[in-house]
Amino acid sequence: MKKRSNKNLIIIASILCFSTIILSTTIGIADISFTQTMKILLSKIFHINFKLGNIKDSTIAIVWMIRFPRVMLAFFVGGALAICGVSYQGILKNPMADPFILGVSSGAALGATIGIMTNLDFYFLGINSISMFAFIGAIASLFIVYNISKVGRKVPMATLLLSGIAIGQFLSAAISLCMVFSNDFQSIIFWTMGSFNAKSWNQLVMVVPYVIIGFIIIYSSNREMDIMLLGEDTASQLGVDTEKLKMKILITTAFVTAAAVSVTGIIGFVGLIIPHIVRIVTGPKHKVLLPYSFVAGGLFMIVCDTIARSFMSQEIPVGIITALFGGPFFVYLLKKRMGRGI
Amino acid sequence: MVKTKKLIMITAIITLIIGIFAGCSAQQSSTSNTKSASTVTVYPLTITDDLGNKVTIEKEPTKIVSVAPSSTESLFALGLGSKVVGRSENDNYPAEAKSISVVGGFSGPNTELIIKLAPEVVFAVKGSMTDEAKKLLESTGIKVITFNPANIDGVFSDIKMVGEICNVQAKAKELTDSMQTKREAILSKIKNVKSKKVFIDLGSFYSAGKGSFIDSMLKELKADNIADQTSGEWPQLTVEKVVSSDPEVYISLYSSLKDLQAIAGLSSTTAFKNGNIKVIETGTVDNDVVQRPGPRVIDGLEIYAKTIYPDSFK
Repeated sequence: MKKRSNKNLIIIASILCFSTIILSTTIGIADISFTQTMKILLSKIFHINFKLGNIKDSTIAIVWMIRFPRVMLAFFVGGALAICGVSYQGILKNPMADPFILGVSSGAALGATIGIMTNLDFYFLGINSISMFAFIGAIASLFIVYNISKVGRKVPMATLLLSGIAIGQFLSAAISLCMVFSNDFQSIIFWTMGSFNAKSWNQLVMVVPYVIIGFIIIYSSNREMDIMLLGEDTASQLGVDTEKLKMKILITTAFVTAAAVSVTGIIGFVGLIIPHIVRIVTGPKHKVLLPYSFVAGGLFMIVCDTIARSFMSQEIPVGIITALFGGPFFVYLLKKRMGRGI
Repeated sequence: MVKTKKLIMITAIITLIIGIFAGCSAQQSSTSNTKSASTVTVYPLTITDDLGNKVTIEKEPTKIVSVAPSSTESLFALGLGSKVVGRSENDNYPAEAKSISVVGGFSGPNTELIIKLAPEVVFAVKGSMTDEAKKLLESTGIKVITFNPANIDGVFSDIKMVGEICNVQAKAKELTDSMQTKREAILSKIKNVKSKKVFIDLGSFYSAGKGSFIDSMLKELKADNIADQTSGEWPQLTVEKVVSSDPEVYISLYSSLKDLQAIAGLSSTTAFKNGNIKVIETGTVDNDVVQRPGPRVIDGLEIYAKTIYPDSFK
């Protein structure tokens, strides 16, 4: 019985993913018909020879170079942030944990700030120098936080959390200081606001490998993460190597978050709220929580980004949309859950 | 009998007093509305700045502070450079301005430094000074004049206002007249052009929207600003919007050509296909001149005109 309903859920989720991606690609400011969009997508993806001759170059560019990669990037970044949120909430046993709680976002932003200020304008495999600096900054900040919190061979979770907050604040202050002395503070502000605008295949190609490999690594530890929810001492008594697990999860999520943030800037809220929303529906077992959080995070991000880019003729920062919609929806779900007495 | 006499006397006195006041105010308004070329400013002078604030200047200013690059340029252009005792960090023209002490920057004016310098007048532009800073300066007797020109005509009236406040009205008229001549020369060259679609990229696809100063310059040049359908003066456009509007001329005031070429989709626009991309790098003279509503604004207008309609300037 349960297996069949699980299978149904998987099918529903897949159909939802597929249709949301396609539908979002047809939505946008430019007036492009559904048939035109489908023709372009099918001919580019499956190399079916549709007559694209009478469609404008700019229309093809909009669908294939602008909208489709942007939607896919939103899906992967949203999913990445969601599974990082799940991981942190599980490992830290803290429902307020989000992917940025250990100073990773400030590290990335500081990296980007340094990248912007040093004016090194180079491209490596299609990714620009600022993204690379952001990536390095994110990893470096987690490395610092981890090593500060280490006591002998153990890393207590509470210390990790507090160090993360402290380092995060310190780095934010460093960024503000840089902004005071820099002539490029406009660029720095743009970067920290988080956006999918002007992101395309290059960014997608950079992010996807990290996300997929990261997901596989985290998913492979799903049972240990379930046990960690009982507490570190209980988990180690039950045979879980807690330190190794923590290191594995922290390093993996650091890379996944760094990849996402280096490409799109900081988009909050998704990593925090999606795990909770999905947990209400699927329960706390990570085997189910992880994949559905990924899907939910991805779809949520697609919807928010589609609104951010199509609602008005100008771009609205996507972080505003995620908070505006996510907040009330989460409150609604909470109330519903409390009413049922779960 | 006595009562009527008293009544007549009182009426006469009241009429006299009213007459004196009417005459005085008429005289004052006639002084500030005079349009003759060589007018000497009569103080105290009450003017209304661009934000609608009525400011009274007691006497001819001997010490002036400017916290906006455009006002600093105006002051020097009117020969008042020796009276300027404070400037903002970004005031980089003319060269003589660089030796003046800095009293403010991006984060606002340093009220302490300004009060220490004790100028009579401070010139600012909208956004360069908070209300609190303004009130603080005014409480010490310093007069603050805020400019906010919407277009080139607004720049002219601002320059004339500086001229009036500092008693160099003839010089101000001379300056604005020469600017107007240059302006008319440019506009006559593009009299019969067909309007072109233009996109001004201020960085990360932020653009000059409806009502902004840059937008007014584009409108004057009969250019179609693709960012003017939005609300707000500084909208950020999505790449999709830029590509679907298909500009014929792409002017970037921040991003380099390399940055722009890395953005997928832009290459399908007419501007990119025809190579009509102009990058005006930040920090160059041209970059200042195309955005500053000051005495060199006509040079900025010329740069836009030559970039958008190169064939009219061969």
